[in-house]
This record gives sequence, structure tokens and C-alpha cells, in this order.
Amino acid sequence: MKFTSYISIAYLAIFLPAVILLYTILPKKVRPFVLLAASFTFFWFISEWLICYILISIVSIYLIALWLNKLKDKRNALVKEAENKEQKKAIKKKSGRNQLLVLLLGVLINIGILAVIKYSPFFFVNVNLFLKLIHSSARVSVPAFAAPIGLSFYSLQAVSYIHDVYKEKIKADKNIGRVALFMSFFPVIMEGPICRYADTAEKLWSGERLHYRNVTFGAQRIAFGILKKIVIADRLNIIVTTIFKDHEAFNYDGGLILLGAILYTIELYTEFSGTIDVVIGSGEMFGVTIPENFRQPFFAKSISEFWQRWHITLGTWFRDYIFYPVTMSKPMKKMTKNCRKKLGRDYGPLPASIIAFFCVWLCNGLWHGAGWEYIFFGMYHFALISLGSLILPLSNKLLAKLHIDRHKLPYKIFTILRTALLVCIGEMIFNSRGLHDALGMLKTLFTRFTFKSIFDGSVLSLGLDGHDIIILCVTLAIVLTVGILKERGKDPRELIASTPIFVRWPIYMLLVVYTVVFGAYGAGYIPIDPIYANF
Amino acid sequence: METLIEILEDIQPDADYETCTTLIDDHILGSLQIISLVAEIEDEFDISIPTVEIKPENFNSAAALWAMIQRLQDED
Amino acid sequence: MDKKVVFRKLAGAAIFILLLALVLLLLSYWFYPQQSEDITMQDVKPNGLLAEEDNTIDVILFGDSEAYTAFSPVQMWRDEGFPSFVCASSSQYISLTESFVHQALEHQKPKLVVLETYAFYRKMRSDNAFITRIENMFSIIQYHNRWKIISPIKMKSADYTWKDDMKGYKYAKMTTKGQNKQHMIPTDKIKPIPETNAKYVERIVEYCKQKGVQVLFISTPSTKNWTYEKHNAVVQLAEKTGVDYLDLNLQKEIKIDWHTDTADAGDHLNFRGAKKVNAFLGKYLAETYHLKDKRNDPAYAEWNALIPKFEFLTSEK
Repeated sequence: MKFTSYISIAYLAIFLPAVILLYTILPKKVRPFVLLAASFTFFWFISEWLICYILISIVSIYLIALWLNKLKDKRNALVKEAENKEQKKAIKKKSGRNQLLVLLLGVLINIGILAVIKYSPFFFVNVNLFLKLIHSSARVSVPAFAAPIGLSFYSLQAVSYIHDVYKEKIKADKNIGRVALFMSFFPVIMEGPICRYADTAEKLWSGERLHYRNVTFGAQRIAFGILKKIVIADRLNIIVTTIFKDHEAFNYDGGLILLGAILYTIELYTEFSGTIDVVIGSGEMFGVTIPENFRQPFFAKSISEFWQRWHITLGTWFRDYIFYPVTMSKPMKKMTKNCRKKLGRDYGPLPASIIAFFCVWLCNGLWHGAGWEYIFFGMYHFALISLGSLILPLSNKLLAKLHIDRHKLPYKIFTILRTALLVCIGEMIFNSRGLHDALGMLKTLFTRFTFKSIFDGSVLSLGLDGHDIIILCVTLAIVLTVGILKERGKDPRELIASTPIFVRWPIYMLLVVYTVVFGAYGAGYIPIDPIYANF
Repeated sequence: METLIEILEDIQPDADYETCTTLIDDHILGSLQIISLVAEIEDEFDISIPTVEIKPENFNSAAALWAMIQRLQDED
Repeated sequence: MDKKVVFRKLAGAAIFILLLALVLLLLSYWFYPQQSEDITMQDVKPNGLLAEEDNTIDVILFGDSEAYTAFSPVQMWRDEGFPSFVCASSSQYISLTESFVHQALEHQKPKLVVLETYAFYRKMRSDNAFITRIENMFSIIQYHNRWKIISPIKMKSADYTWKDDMKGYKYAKMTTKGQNKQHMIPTDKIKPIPETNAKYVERIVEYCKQKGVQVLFISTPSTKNWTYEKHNAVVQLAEKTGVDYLDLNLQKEIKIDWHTDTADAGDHLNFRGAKKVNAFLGKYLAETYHLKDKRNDPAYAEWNALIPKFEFLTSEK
């Protein structure tokens, strides 16, 4: 069996049903082991011996957490015996330092593996470029490592686990099985969401029986995810690939490039969120609530809000483990205090947060890939968010002067469209073939912008015909409707479930038939590889 | 408690801090405001707020904030 | 939970699945193509042939990814001046090749049909009767894309206006170093072609002969996919069907360098490898089959315009 994606016959029709069947017929006590065995099997199918890497991570964080626990117990015992406040403080300080060293060891192991596998080739290539630049004839050889699946995702989970133990948010787990399942649970291993121990571990290991409602709701979510991916994303793939690959050769104009940027953003969204629907639906079947990764991102009114709605678990990870630790470090706090006195309320917290934003976005860019275009992508968002914070006080004043109400609909629509456009340009950089290519596309976008090729019909020569365009519009309208319902706090699945059977069943069937008929699969279509699995 | 409300009003004027319980959930306090808030509270009440305490439960209302401050003062 | 409730829910789920299957069966019946209607409109690139004017292409090449990475009509046009087209799709089954051949010969009168031989070895799943039955029952999966032509609204009958500037060639830029080892070691051993596949090939050849079109088998260079054992089997099949056979793996003068000329370590050729192959192949085909040089024919002006694009794409940048 070969898995390349969750949206595949191998996973949906064979693997998942087999795991569900085993899970139901075996007794409660064995069920967690069914999930664990299934997860390791899944990992093995994809990465074979590279499974060693995740095993190293699991064992390392398991031991580090227990070690931290021991230090904490020792500290507590000593504090109890201490006679006065000074002594207590000294004990706490000393223990705190030791704990920090242990935590850093754990971080070093896990981020170290990630760094070596993912970034060392990029690093050495650039060392060679530098050597060439200074006319040195020396060259280092560029190493190549095969990366296990999900490395970028589970490494972050590993760090969050030991960090949370260190901060006493959670207790170190004595059961290595539970830690292993938290790290490797098969639906989330490939493309996230990045889970926290406190959210999923307990539930995963509980071995609770399947509930009819969970299974059917999970199945519905999976079906909708498949629809998004194979009707929209796979269909857009042809035209998007053509535009991004040929724009230089065939000298496309800015209008076509913008179209490519927008369509790529839609493709990325439907592909990634569709897969995440399958992931969360799979978890739901076993009664596990996997954290949401998307919340109608294109309703965001600013870039920073966009990132609270898009790939949420990555954003919150960076917030909790980079942004706050940086801004809340002692020197930064001091700086904020001083700046508030000098710069006032609006600008006081800015210096500290801009430094933190820089760290976050550098890491975010690099996380997506080792390449200058990804660093550019990160810096693009860093610039937008920093600028946004800088001009917010000004724009507030301006709006007040012009008597424009931020909460009125026209202004809201304006901000939504503006944000979406900026996001599309960011994703265009993201999908470019390198820094040079990205800059070239940006240049075309701003210097040769016309709608000519869109209106003269040459856009139809890029691999989509009129039929395809109609289906794309209809399907996007469905996705938009679902998004609006969710934005208003209504779960479409609940709404459908509350209708009588002769309404409900046809809707479910239509969902499947629609996907079967209008899906862009089969001979002639090349399904896209899961975009996020390679990060 | 009054000092706390004053600090809050200084940081983000337009909100009713006596009653509001969704300061974070409704994005009344963003990350920038939180940074300022933590710095001010630490200064004013002579405590140190560890990063684990920075979670929505503690920042959603003035009352919750106050409870956290008192707890941290006792711990010291 | 109450046993009765569990039973009712399970029964409900079963009925739902049966109903869904029924709907799909009915749709399959509706979507199943009528005899004369063409059935292979899914493939974008090979179907680009349908956009070409009738009776303008002299050589049509069929096969899988080996074919579309190795055969480059625009280059052969530039060098030799005969128009050709590659009707290849990834992992093409020989059964699909057959329908492509039928579709192609309805609109074109080529001098030569080329079948790339690696596709002869792609096992079709029809070995398993049960799965085939199921697949046939739910043929909606295979023919789903026909919604574009059977749409009751009849927006337009399917139109093939999309012309492929590369004429079916897929430009592979990447290089993944392979090994320059000798992969064609002479032997008498034979790796037999699956029986059903051989039957399909015979049928295709028969059909071409009926239409008065010559057939040529070509094996493209690949250290990963081609061996002398397979070569021997194709020689046999060529003799049996009375078809010419050209194994490019044995043509020393092409000088494929597997360090630089392959996209994926010996599996497929990249653009460098393809250049070498087409330089040789263009000449070979033009001479062997006396193909006319049409570069000065005004009807083919469009073809000449493709050369700069092709050269831009395949230049060493």
C-alpha cells in the first residue's frame, strides 16, 4: 500500500475503515494500542526506516519531561524544608536554572534534528555561494538527507510538550505510549494541525467506543474536504501550474499573473483546508477533537487577523513559543516600559513587538521551506504586520476625521478585499520558483498590468474550458455559503441533521455524486501532491 | 482593582472594563495591548507574570486579571 | 446503548449506502458512452491532437510518460520538417492507447504510427475479474468527465480548441543524476509481455494496417525501465505482427549521458536527453519513411512560429 495523501483510495477506502473496524471489535483496553500501531504502520508505509527519527523524538521528550518532573519534585521538597523567604528564593532560582538547561537540551535534540535534515543543505549551498562571492576556491560538500513525513509538524509538537511541562501547564506523562500516540497519531502526522498535549493526548488514549454521531459527522466532514480538494484544487492545478511555469517564457501580463496569484491562493486554501477537513473528520470518528486549523480566513480584515484564521495551530504555536517568550523576556519588558513613557500609549509596545514579529516571521518563512523565497515570504508578512501596527493609530485618526465607521459594511468589505489581495500576493511569492522568479512576477504585476489576456479569451487556452469555469464558480459558491454559515456560528452539519430524512439523505448523496461527477480526477488530471506535507 | 481599571483604560480606552468578560475573545485586547498591560501590571503591583499565565482565561475580564494578580502576589 | 437503537442505526446506514450505490449505478448507465461516441476526452495533452486541423499530422506517437518526455515534435519539425504529435499520458494503459489510436485515425491520415514499448508491460487490472466487474458497474468513475458533453443543457458539444504548443511533448527540466552503467546486456532470455497486452498491441497494429498506416515500435532510452530481456520480447512481437522495431537503448550514437540527461536517475529523460534522442530520431524517421519536408508549406506557418518558444524553454539557463 502506498500513501501519498489522505485523499486517496488507500487511506479512505482501506486504511481508515480497517482501523475503525479493529478499534470497534477490540476491547477498550487494547484500543489505544490499535491507534498507536495504526499510526506507526502509517508512518512506516510512507517513510520506512526514517521512523527512527520520530522514535528518537518521542523517547527524548518522554525522558526530558520526566527529568523536569524530578527536578520540580526535588525543588518542592526543598522549598518545604526551607526556613525563610530568602532561602526559598535561592532554591527556586537554582532549580529554575537547572530546569531551563534540561528544557534546552530537549529543544536542542528536537529542533536540532529538524535543522540538520531540513536546513543544512540550504545552509551549505549558501556557504558555497558566499565562498564563490569572495573568490575563494574552497567548497563544502552539500549534504542531503531524506526527511521523514511530518517532521516539521511533530517536531513542534515535541517542543510544545516539554515546554508545557517546564512551565507546569501539564504534568510529565509516565506512559510512553500516550506520548507516542500524541506525537504520531496518523491523521495529523502528515499535515498537522499541530496539536498540544493538553488538548488531544488524554482523549486519544481513552479508548472510548465509537459513537454513531461522531462517525457520521466525521464522514460528512471528510466528504466535504474531498469535494474541496478534488473539485476545486485539482481542477485549478492545471491553470495555476501553467501560469507559474510559463509566465516568463510566454511573457504573461500583470493581469494574468494576478489571476494566477488569486487562483493559486484558492487552490492552496481548498487543498490544505480540504485535507485538514479529512484529518479532523478522521479524528472526530474516534471521538478526538483535533484543533481547528482554519476559520474562514478570507473574512479577515487585516493581515494579522488573517493569520489568526489561517493555519491557526502554526500561528498559535509561534505566538506561545516565540512571540510571548520574546516580548515577555526581562529586557524586552523593561524596554516596553521605557518606550511607553517616551513614545506614549500607541507606540510604546511597538519596538518589543516588532523585534518579536521579526523572529516569528523569520521562523515562519523558514518553517515553510529552506529557500530565500520563503524567507522573502516571511519578511513580506513581517513588513505588512509591522506597518499595520505602525499606521493603525494614524488611520484611526484619519477615519475619525473622515467620519468613516470601522464597523460599517462598506468599510468592512474594503478591508476584507484589501487583505485578500495582500494575501494573494504573498502566496504568489510563496509559490514562485525562487527569489528571482518572485521579484520578476512582482515587477510584471506592477509595471505591465492589463486585463487584456483575461478579456480576449486567451485565458481559456491555459487548460480550463468554459465548463470547468462554471463548475469552479458553483463549487466556490458552496464553499462560501458554508463559510458564511460557520462565520455566523452555525454548523452546517447540524442544520442538515435537523431536517427530515427525505431532505437530509438527498443532500448527503448529492455531496458524494457531485464529487464523483465533477471531481477533477482520472486520466488527464494530475492530482496535486499534498502541498503542506513537504514542509 | 481601581488601579487595574485605570491601567486598562490607559491602554485601550474604549471598553467597559467593569462588565466585559470577552476582552480577548472579542479582540478588544490584541497582542500589542497585552504586552503593554503585562509591563504595566508588573511595574505597578511588583510581581512577575510568567508566560504560562498569559492565556485567555486570565485576560478576558478585569476580574480575572485581578484574581491572577492577587494569586501571584500571594505566591511571592 | 439499547441494542434496538444500535440495530436501527446500523440498518439506516446500510440502507443509505445501498441507495447511494443505486444512484451511482444509474448515473453510470447514463454516463456510459455510446458506441460511436468518443470516450477518451479526459486527457488534456494527448487530446490536443483533436485541435489540430484534420489530416495535417504525418507521425503520431503513442505511449506513457516515457514517450512524452522523449519525443519532441517541435524539435523534429525544426530539424527535419515533418509534423508529428505525441499522444501520451502518464501510466497509459495499452487499452487506452487503443482508443487513442482509433480517435486519432478518425481525424488524421498519418504515414506512421509509433508505439512506445514500455507501455506494453503495464499490467492492466483486468486480470481480476471481480474488480473489473465492479469497475464496469460503476463506470461513472471512469467516465465522469463526460458531464461536459452529455450535459442536458447542451452548452456546447465538447470542443477541442486547446492546441498544445509542445505537440504532446512534456518538457522535463529537472536533472537527477543517474549511473552510466551498461543496462543493455545481451542475452537470449525473454521477459514475456502480458498476454492481454500483447493481444491489444496486435489489434492496434491490425487496425492501423487496415487504415493503411505503417507501424513502428520504439523503445525509449531508460536504464530503469528497459532491459535486453524486454528487447527480445518486443523483437518477437514485432516479427509476429510484421512491424518495424527501433530500440533507442541500443543506438550508440545518441550518446545519452545518464549523469546529466535524465530527470529522475534513469527513469525518464530530461530536456537534454530528449534533444539528443530527437536529433537522431527525426533524421531516422525522415529517411526511413521518406517524410516530406513541409517547413516551407504556408499551411504550416504556425508550426514554424513554435520553434522560438520551444528553444526558449529548452535552452540551458
